[in-house]
Amino acid sequence: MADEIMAETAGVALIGDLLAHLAAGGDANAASFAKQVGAARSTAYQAIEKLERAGFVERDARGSLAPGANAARLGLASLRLAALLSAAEALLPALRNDADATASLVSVAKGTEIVLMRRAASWDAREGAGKELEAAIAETARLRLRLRPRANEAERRAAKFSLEQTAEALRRALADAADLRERRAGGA
Amino acid sequence: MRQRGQDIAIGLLQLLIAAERPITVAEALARLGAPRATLHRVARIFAARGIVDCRRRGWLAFGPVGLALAARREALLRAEDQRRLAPRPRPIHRARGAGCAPSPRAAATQWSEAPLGRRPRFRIGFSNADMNNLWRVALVHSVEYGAVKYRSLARSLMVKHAEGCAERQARDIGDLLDKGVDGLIVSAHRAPALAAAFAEAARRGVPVVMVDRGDENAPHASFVTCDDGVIGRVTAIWLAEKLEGRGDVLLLPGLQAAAPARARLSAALQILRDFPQICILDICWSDWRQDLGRAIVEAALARGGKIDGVWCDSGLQAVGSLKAFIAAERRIPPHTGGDLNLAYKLAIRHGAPLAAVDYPPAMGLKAVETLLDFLRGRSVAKRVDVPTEIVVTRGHATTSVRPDLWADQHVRWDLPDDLILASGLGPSYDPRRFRVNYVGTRYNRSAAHPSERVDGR
Repeated sequence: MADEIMAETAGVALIGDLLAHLAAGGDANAASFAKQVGAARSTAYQAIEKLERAGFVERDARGSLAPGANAARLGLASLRLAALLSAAEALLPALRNDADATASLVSVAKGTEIVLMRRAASWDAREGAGKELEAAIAETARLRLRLRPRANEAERRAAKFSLEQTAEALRRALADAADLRERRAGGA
Repeated sequence: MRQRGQDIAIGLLQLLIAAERPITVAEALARLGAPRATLHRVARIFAARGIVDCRRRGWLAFGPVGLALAARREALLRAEDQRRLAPRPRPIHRARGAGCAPSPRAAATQWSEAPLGRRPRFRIGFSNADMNNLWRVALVHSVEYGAVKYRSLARSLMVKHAEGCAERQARDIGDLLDKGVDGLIVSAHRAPALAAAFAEAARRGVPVVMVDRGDENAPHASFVTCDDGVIGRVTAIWLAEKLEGRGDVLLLPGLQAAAPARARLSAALQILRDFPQICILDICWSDWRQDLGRAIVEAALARGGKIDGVWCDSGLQAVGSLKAFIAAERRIPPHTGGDLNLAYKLAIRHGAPLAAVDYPPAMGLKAVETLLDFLRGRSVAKRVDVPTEIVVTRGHATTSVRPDLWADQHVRWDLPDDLILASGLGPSYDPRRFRVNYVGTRYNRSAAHPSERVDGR
């Protein structure tokens, strides 16, 4: 029994170590990670595969490990914004291209601003900041567009139109997730 | 036992994500069906690593590691996005308060939720509608370039040309599916005729990214294109304003079977209706062929009629029209239609006013990127519009249409006439010298070559 508990503890610790390692910016593949934590390579592979199947870890062609979509959702869930991940990852680059402006998703919870996602326009690194447009997604989240410094009125209007449409899509994603949660709670 | 502990650990994380709030230990026990001792062990191990926070008795809350993981993923995606980002010359400038300026485009508001990602490298199939013009050569080159640029993600590329036959294209898609492709890029000759092929791809779990031509109602992960409405509207506004709202114009749209050509014509007609003194002499489908464009204009000139302007949705046929005016030694009236290097060369050389919104073959590369993203488990926008530019010959901007680039900044005098611009393949791209090496091709030969067959000359 004690052996079983030890094995269980080691298995869970492996998962915890891997997530903490990735969060700290550690670069690794399965073999180097196993070596680092002193686990058998096959044991590490099994844990990684499990996390990969659950969407917490991604591996590229060379086997390098990176946080998966669900790992990011865990962070966004702490801000009650997990439902935004897919929509924002897909729509922010499109908004940036449509408006030719830098698009950001920002959390404003508890008086602290955290830039959750940012897709910079191609001019952004060269030119200074222009006018900023903002749309509320939720009480704690904002969608922002930073326009080119010399953007004219027509460009501002077009950018505002795109911003509002994308913000509405993100609000819909949050509302759909809230509905689903409510239905599940009702079912339970 | 180790497996069960790990399953409970992952289940706990999923539970926190779904709840988006701290949960009670009792709630977790009920939902996970886990033994109390195991859950406590998992919670203790995760708390020690900052993944959960158990400081409040009887509660499981989020630890700081979650946000750090989100930040790490964002940093990786941001770096990838910056590597892909192509520079744009200038934003589209439109005159202040212009009455007929193009309305703002609808933003992408829908997305495809990717299934759990698979590990690269992927086999890609590309079913191309036909190869009957130079633009399509550039599109194929752009897709091939994408397969090479992302060779760490793409194992192979198989390209099939349907030669303008919907039945053959349906067979091509079936063949690519049978060969085991992981994802498909389809430029559909006639999208409704491919419904069964798309359904079969969906049944096999093979995502489809449509490029250039497609059907937004068919099952697909994404449709990568360029706003044909903008192409039609901007060029028609320019032509109407250039003619000061009056004159006789000839309309030479592209291929009637192709949805982009119909969308551009429809947008242009809508604009021209606002100019009652503009008389449409004729609407002749040119199949995007230079020879047909030239024959139509030569016939019109032979009839002795007055032509004040020629609206074309592409330079592929506009070149034929320009050549007809040059051969007849007539003053060249304002023309529209770009894409092709020769269209800009002729317009500049002969002082012809020309405006164009290039339809960028770079959408081929974007389609590859989108498909690879989706296969890796990343959600993608349901519709991706590839940015493009308004190009006008110098001195011919109008009240509403101001260029991002002058034609003399856009033209490539050092490269062949049959170069399609806006290919996204870099400044040294030459369609005749394009060589590419990927699994699926032989001797570095591209699946498309600008031969006489596709020139339409």
